[in-house]
Amino acid sequence: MPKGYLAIVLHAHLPYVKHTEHEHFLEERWFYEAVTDCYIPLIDMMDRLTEDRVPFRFTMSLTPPLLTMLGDFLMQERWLKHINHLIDLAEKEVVRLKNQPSFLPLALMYRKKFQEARHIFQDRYQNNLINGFKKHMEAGNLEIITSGATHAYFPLAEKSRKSVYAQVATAVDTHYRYLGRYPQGIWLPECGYFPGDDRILRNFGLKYFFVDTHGLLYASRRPKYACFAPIYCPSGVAAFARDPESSKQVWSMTEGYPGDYNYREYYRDIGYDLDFGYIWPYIHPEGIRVNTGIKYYRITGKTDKKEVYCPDKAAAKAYEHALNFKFNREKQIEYLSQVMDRTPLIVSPYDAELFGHWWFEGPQFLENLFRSIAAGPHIIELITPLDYLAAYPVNQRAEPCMSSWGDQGYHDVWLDQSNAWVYPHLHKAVERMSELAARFPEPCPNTRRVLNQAARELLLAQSSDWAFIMKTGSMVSYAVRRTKNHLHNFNILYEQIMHNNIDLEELYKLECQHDIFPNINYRVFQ
Amino acid sequence: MLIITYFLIFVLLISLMIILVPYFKAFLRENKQLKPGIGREEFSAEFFPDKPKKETPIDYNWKAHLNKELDFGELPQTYGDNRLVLMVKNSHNLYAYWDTTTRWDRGTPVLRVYELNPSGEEKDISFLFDIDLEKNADNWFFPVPKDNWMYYVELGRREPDGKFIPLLRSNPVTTPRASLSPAIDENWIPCDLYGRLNNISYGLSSGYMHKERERTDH
Repeated sequence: MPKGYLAIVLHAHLPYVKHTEHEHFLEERWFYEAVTDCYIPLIDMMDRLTEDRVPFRFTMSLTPPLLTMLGDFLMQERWLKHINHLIDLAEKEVVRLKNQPSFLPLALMYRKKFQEARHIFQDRYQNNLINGFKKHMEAGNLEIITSGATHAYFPLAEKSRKSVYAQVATAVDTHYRYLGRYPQGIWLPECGYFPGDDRILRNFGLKYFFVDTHGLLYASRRPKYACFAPIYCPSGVAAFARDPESSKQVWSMTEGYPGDYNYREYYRDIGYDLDFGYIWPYIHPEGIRVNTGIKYYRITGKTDKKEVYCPDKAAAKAYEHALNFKFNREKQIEYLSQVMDRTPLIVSPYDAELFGHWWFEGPQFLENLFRSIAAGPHIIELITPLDYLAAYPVNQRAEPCMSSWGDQGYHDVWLDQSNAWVYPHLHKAVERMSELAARFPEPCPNTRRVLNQAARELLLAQSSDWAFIMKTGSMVSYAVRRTKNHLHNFNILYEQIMHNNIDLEELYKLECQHDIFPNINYRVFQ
Repeated sequence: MLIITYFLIFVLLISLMIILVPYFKAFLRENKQLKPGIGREEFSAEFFPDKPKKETPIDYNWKAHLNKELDFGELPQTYGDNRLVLMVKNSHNLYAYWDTTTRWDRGTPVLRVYELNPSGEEKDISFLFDIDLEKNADNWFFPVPKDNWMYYVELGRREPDGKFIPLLRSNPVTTPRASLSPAIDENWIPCDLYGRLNNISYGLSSGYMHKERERTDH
């Protein structure tokens, strides 16, 4: 019997950035980079652990836009093109650096990494990484949960909560279509909880969700076990809270592990560092410098003079940090088990993209952690929230506090001067969509197509990523344009239906351009 | 013979120019759009410049031809409704937006803030304060005194004689708690855990990382 449980949760999400117009959208690179740096290394890690018969167990949320892009033929083709291009660049780097003994091993490392990524993608999973996640889900090592259909920020939804219903309904359906199972849990986008939304979750068979620490601590009744056990909402859905200690150790770039001076520096990429005449075929065709993924320096310190990255030293650190993380959890559990009359649970959720992308050595850290926990002593056991609910089906009842895991703990990130303008339009669009859904219960085939496309445009406009980007200040024009574009399309479709004036050619164009959720049912907005 | 040689040289030069045109084009554009060139001496011992470039957000020119496709229409200024919506920003700040056909020719537009006791048997309503608005305003952020408390607002006009004429009323909202609940379940008496959780740090997520990155600016 372990003394405590650890639930690692990785939230994997990207906004829907597939552009059929052309393949040079900078934002599409988010997808390529995340596939190369994060999703492939994570799947590869699970494959290796399975092969070595190391038991592991954790939870991942794969959001519907991410699943759709991973399963999309065009995006798969484009990623392959991207990785072939990168391998080509890595080959050139090997030649360029042949007389530079400190850099050459790194160029070789990248070439190998990219070639392996292509091999895993193409040969092991037939271009579809969902197969990789699914394999480990079916093996019982990975619990996959869903999130909002387009990662809308629920607490700022309209009063009727219709868009929350539509987001959850569409997400659950998409999850089933790609993974063959209905999700049992949900990652509320940005941990945004609005009291009462749990009733909607229960309607779709969702048994649990996550809130930030204070979401549980400030519940309507003071929770007996603070954030170390879930509570049941009035609807009976369980709310798990994240543990602040383990969060900070990984999330914080300054105090946490990822800021270690031996780790790779994210901001020194050859896409920016190298001579334009050399690098231009590998950056944006309009001459905009971008990250290529090849980076030769380590963080070094708070200095501009960066030193060369040493993979062996970084690997040793990733090992050391994994042991330190485990040690700290054991200490924490020792303490908690003394004051609690049941086995404590530590929930440690992170953005999946942190691992491998921002924190290059993240996947190594995770693998070391799983291996060392498996090696014992068995003070900690890795579990999923569902395992916990099976072990402890009786929990305190209270209503969690409205909260998020964003800056300041509430809605400050998604509602401020920079992005507040979106909400009047979003709320109005939901009202219009539900009006349409009520008015056309049995539409003719073409009207149905318009209604479904209107629902797609609305869901895409609701993505919390746009408001987040507007607030944090990079790629703002893209976020503004995406929001306006989807809302504008929605309004045009609404007018067309209301005036019985459907433009089929324009509709077809939109259906091809914004082709997420092919099986959507507009009536989810009713 | 000489003419043929000249001709060949001419053809060679032309083809060389054609080959190099995209390169120069890109090169020129770089100088226009990006920070000054860096690390020109590619094959020197110093492979990269010592000074890394400051992380600048990539915000490329949307007029560029590749991005013409993502055209968008402007959104309507008004939907011709009469509505006033109140939203919560955090435990002590609210946000109201409105759409109204009212014209503020005379008098001052005012947002009147009320509080409600959420736990009271009969919800006692009391007036809190007025906010004088600008005539063209259609939204407002404002602070409120209490967390875990209910509020609603009215949009109206203050006449020159000081009389308030309400025009629209918002939905009520409840501000979230900013501290532990005093309510204790007798079957679930809290364990002695809260001492260690004194300082909760909010916002450990991608936004936090973003902020830290900017701060450290490696």
